[in-house]
Parts: sequence; C-alpha cells; structure tokens
Amino acid sequence: MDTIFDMLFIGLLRGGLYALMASGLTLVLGVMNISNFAHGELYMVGGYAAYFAGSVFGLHPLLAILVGALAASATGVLVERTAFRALRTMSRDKWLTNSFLLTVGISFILQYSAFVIWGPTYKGVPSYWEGFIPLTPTFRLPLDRAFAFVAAVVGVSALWFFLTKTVTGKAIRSVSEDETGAMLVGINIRKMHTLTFALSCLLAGLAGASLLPIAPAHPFVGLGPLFKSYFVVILAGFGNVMGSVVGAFVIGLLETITYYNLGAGWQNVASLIVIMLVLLLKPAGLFGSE
Amino acid sequence: MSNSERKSINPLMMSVMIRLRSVGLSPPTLSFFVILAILPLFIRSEYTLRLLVVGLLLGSQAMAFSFTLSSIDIINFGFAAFCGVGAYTSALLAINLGISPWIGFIAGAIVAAVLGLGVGVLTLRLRGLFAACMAWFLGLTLQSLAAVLVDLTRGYLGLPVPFLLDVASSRPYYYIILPIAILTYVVLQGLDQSNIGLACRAIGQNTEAAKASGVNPTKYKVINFTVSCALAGVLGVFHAHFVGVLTPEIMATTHTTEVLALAYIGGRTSLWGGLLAALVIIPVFEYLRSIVMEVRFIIYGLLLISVMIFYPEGLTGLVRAAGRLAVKLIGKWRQGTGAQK
Amino acid sequence: MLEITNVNAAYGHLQVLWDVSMTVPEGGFIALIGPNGAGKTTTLNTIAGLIRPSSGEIELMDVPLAGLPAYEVSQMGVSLVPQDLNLFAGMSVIDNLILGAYANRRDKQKVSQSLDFVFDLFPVLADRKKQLAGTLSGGERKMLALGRGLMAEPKVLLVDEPSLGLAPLLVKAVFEALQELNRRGITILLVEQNVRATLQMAQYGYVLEQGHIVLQGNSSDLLEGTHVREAYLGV
Repeated sequence: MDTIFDMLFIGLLRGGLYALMASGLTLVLGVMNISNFAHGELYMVGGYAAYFAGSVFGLHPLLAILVGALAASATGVLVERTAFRALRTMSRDKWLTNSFLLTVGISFILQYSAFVIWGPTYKGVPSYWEGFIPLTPTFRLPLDRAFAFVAAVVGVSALWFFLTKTVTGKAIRSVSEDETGAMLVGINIRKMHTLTFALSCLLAGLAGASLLPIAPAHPFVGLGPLFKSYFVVILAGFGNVMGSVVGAFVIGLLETITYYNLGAGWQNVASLIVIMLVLLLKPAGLFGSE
Repeated sequence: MSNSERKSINPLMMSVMIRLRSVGLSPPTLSFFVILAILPLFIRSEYTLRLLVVGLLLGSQAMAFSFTLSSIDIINFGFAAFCGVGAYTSALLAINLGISPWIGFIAGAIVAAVLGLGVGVLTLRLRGLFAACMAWFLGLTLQSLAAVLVDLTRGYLGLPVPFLLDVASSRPYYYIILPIAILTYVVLQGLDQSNIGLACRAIGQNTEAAKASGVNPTKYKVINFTVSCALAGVLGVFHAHFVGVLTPEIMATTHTTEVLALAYIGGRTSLWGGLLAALVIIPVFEYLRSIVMEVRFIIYGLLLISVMIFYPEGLTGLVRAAGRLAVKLIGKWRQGTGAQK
Repeated sequence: MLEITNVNAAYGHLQVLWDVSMTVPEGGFIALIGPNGAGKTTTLNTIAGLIRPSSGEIELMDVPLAGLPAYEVSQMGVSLVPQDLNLFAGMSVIDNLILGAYANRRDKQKVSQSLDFVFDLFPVLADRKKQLAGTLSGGERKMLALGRGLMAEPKVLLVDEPSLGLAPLLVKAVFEALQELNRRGITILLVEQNVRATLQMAQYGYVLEQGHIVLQGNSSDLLEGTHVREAYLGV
C-alpha cells in the first residue's frame, strides 16, 4: 500500500516536471514549426543561473528560481532573434529539417560552452528548503520536491490560462492554426514567434532551476529532460499543449512503476515500447488529430 | 577537349570512363580516391593513420546518412543505433559462435537492413518528423537494452570484440576501410543516378507531384532508408572489430549528431562532402586536443550553424568553387602560352 | 479612399499583374470580375500585403500601403476575407471573431460592439459561439470569415469569391449581407465569378483578363455592354 503511494507521488512529481518541459516544446513546434533539439539546454541554463544566483550571490531560493527561468528565457530570445531569424531570411524551404539542424548546432554550442567555462563538475545546492512533509506514515515528501511540483503546476496552469483566456495567448494559438489568417487579422507573426519561444524557454528554465537541489547543474543535465520531453510530445501529438500535459503524467507514472518493478535501466525501455506501440496504432499521438 | 585530342583517346578508354562516371567516379573523384589510396605510403605516424581510419569510418557513415537526408529529406535520427546493431550482431556472433568477422559484415548488414526496413515500412508513409522521432526512439530503446542486458553485452563495462586482423598497426585497417568507403560511395552514387535516385529526389522536392507522376513515395523512401541502414550496419561491424571494445555508446544520440554534423558541413549537394569533411575535421580536432577537447563540439556547432545559414553548400561548395577557379586559371595560362606560339 | 495605381506583381519571375489601376471610393461597392486565373485573387492579396508589388502604388486615404507587411495593412483598416477563408479551425467561433478585432484588442468596448454587430448580421454564429470553427458547415464558415473580417471595423473590406462552393440559397444570404454592409457604410471591393449578381450589387466594376484591366465602368453600362455580355453572360 505504501509503495503505491510512493509510486503515485513520485510519478506525479516526475509528471509535473515533464509537463513543464513538454508543453513548451510542443508549443514551439506547433506555432513556429521548429523541433527544438536544444530544449534541454534551456533547462541547463536555468539550473546554472539558479545555482549562481542562489549559491554564489546568495539570493533567496524563490528569487534564484526566478532568475533561472528568466535567464533561460533571455537565452531563448537571443537565439530566436539571431539564429532563427537569420535562417528564415536565408531559406524558407525544408524549414522543419533546417531549423532542427540549427537547434542541434545550438545544443552543441551551449553544452560544450558550459563544459569549457565551468567544467564537468556538478554545480548544485544541497537544498532550497530543508524539511519534509509527512504525507503517509512511511512517505515523507522533501520540501524541495514539493516546491518543484508546485512550480510545475503553477507554470503549466499559467500557460494554460495565458493561452486560453488572454488575447495574446489566443493570437499565439492562431499562428499555429493558420499563419496567413493570423497575418490578415493584424497579428505580427515575428513578435508572436519571439514571445512563444521566450515562453517555452521560460518554462524549461523554471524546471531546471526548481530542480537544482535534486538534479545539480552540469553541461549535460539537459539531455534527460530533452529526451523525456520528446517522448511526451510524440506520445501526445505534435503541437497539442494540453495533451502533452496529460501525456507527461502518463509517462511520469509509467516510468515510476517500471522503476519500482524492474529497476532503473528499464525505465526508458518501457516508456519507449509503450510509446512506439501507441504510435503504430495511432500515429497522430494520443490526442493528435491528423 | 578539342576534336584532335578526342580522337587520340581510344574507344575502350572512353567506355570505361563513361562506366565509371555512371557510378560517380568522374576524374576528380577518382583522383581523390587514388590520393587516399597512396596517402599512407607517406605517413609514418601510427597515430595519424589511426585518425585517418576513424575519419574514413565516420566519413562513410556521413555519406550513408547524407543519402537519406539529401534525397528524401528524412533525418535518420537513430542512425547510430543501426551501426550499433550491426556491431553487436557481428561481435556477439564472433564471441558466442566463433563466426568470423568477415561473415559478420554480412550478418550485421542484414540485421541492420531488416531493422531499417521495418522502421521504414512502419513510419515513412507519415510525416518526416514522425519517422525521425521513431527511428530515434528505437535507437534509444536499443541503447538502453544493450546497457541493461548486461549478461549478453556486458553493458557499459564493454564487450571485448575479436579484432578483424591480428596486427598491431592501423595501416592494414586503412586498406580495409578505404575500399569499404569507396564501395559505399559507389553504391550510393550509383543508386542516386539510377531511376531509384531520380524517384527519391522527386519525392524529396515535391511529394504530390511525384505521386502524380506515378511514383509510389513510400516504396522509394523505404528503399533509400533500408540501404542507408544496411551500410550503417556494415560500418558498425568495422567499428567493433577495429576498436576491439563495444559499449552501448556506439548507439548514443551524440554519435548520430556527430555524423549529422559531418554530413551537413560536408555539404548537401554532394555525396562525397561528408567523407571529405570527416577526413579534414577529425585529424584537425585531434590536434586541437592540446587546447581543450570539448571545444571540438563547439566548433561543430558553429560550423553547422554557419553552413545552415550562410553557406548551405558546405565544404562541397568550397571545393567546387576552388575547382572552377583552377580550371579558369589553367585556361588562362594555356591561352597565354598558346598566344605566344 | 483606396487608390491602386499601375500595380505590377509577380510570383518569382512569372508576372501576373500588369499595370493594374483601380479606384475604390469611400462607401462604394466595387466589383472585380474576370475569368479564372486572371489574377483577381492576386490583386486582392497584393492590396492586403500578402504579396509585394514589384512596382506601382497602393494608397489608403493617401497613406501608402504598397510593400507593407500584411499585418500592418490589416491594422491600417484594410480587411481581406480570402477565398480559402483561413479560419482558425481548432478555435471556437467566438475566439475567431475576437481575434478578428486584434487590432482593436485594447478597446474592450469596441470589440464588444463589433461582436454584437456581427451576431446581429449573422445570428447563426451567435448560436454556435463555442463551437470549433472547423466543425461548422460551409455556409457558416463563410459567414464566420466575413464576420471576422468585419470585427476590426475596417475602412475597406476585400472579399474574394464568397459564393464559391455555396448552395444558391446561401449565396443569396451572403450577397444580401454584403449589400446590407454597404448600406451601413462599409466600403467593399468584391471579387466574384457570379458576374450578373455582382454587377447588380456593385456600382462600378473592373474587368481583369490575364492580369490586365481590359474594361471598367458603371456596372449598369458593363452589364449592357457587349464584352461582358458575350464573354461572361453567354449572350
């Protein structure tokens, strides 16, 4: 019985993290038609920035996390306005392939620049908040993890609210629906692209920053989150933001169940096999509609 | 060639040249391979030779990868896994059943091809992004399996693999990988210039138009993909029996991205670009070890981005521009000496 | 109000419009007719800013539009209802309309008024507020596209073949809506294949053939003239 609670909570925690990452990734895919292979590196930037803000400059954890999220967002804006814009003016054909390759190059540069500047050592903090929440007689939830989960819920909810209830959010969605239509109603596509990418990176940075005590920052810390984000995005269906949130929890729970029953090495295998099976039956993904 | 010169080439030579050209072995390319063949005679350093072997290996992988990317615009993001599959097949056959690595080449190619065929048939009729992700996921699954099935593969501890040859030097290995590289090039170029290649390029350009012309897009995409995977398998086998140790790292995404970078920096418009890029970049990066090893990926990234945005023709474009310049200069020189007569 | 002077436009190297000149006066209902492939859609797309003219001027109340990107042209008050509709299929009717007023989004009152206006004009849409645009019927989608075009309170409404693919009864409804709009003071430039009905609604017409304006005049004159009668009315 206790194990089930454990599994449930840990699965939810993981799911929350994956939801933060995947929703941003799928949003960019839907709106900008870019498959961002450097998404994990924005997580990494969030982690490093939070580390420096919290550990080196001694900022309060909440501020450190905010700094992390903003740093990632700023990095994203920089990349969007330089690299993506340049690519757009150079060539619009085979856009998906070309922009993907561009993000591969960016991911190399970000990962290995971090390596060169800060080395391979782990930069972490033992914890943001000490203490536990006793949830069941045998399961105590560390405050850090609880907070990370709250951050994920807040992040995803804010995204949902923004996209469905505000005009700017609707404008962003309209760009993924029909770019020409969006232009014709007076929406500045370029601005929407930059905003979308900034949002996506903000969420990834938030994830990296809030999980710093659990996953210390190092050059390749983003790889795991990157892979998982893609698992979720493909499972849920490209471009479907809310679907990816659901998918994130599915994957989180599935991984945790596998971990408890088969061990760490089998997590990926189990998730991947499930995903591949789902896709063979429904290529558009669980919530996709093609 | 002037008419008087043309008469002096006998018909046999002409027909040989035409045959060679049909598999992409035009005089420049042929000379390139000839240079590669005699290169080791001038190199004493074992270290450099080993680098060249690695360069030829990765370069051939880049060519196989490029074949899928350039013509049908599909990124085989699980490419490294197909190399790995070939490698593990041959390695395990050699270790457990004592089968010679030379047969392992064929076994590895077949297994990789079958896997590629499967993936292709299941995914290529849908969006390219979908196929790329599925190939990637398959690769990750296989990598995880290789790591987890420790009893079979020894996981990350490393599987000791019998060497292809019982020698200490890399020189003989060079003379095995070079024919493999040339064969890879010839096979791919031959396919590219055949009807299959024509169909593939038509599909890559405009699928709807190709369909309207009676081309079945999925069939040709699958053929293209399978051939590329089969070659990946062969090259993986070589890797295993050359390095002597096999870990799941061979299937890592980083391996695919390195091949991808080489293919792209080499240039989309030719097949040999990736090979040339590898032969230039790999040795250069090794010499950069003295600075910082990791800078090499930063440079890969910068080169990749620069090629994407500013110079899509990559190294191929540079070489061709240089070639055109050379032809111009030779022409002018000839005119100069001619006028003096 | 809208002056198009000697506009030339091309797709790459293929020139499609040759020295096209038109005047759309304020409050007018102008028709642009011609055979398939003449370049009527291209003309509207060029005015809307989707295509950049290679030469010529487009002016809205003396403000130059040529070369401006589509979103700016829209913000300046030129609203295009395209042939393909370009609706946001995965979004609700009301969201589509709200986005139509994007240029005025800061003025909540105005947006609300525009919504009332559109629902008054097309009661069908009011019944289907929350329905996804992609699930509407053909006629309803046309109305939604028109409604969306109207939300920004445009100075000029460009409409591209609204009757295409519609049953006759619906065509009648759409044309009546256009006439009502014009009566309420909205300037309209209409591209249509249905020549007789169009010229009966419009005051002035331009005939575009192979990228050239070959004929123009009061619609009544055009209707009686031999060219239109022979080429388009089958008389």
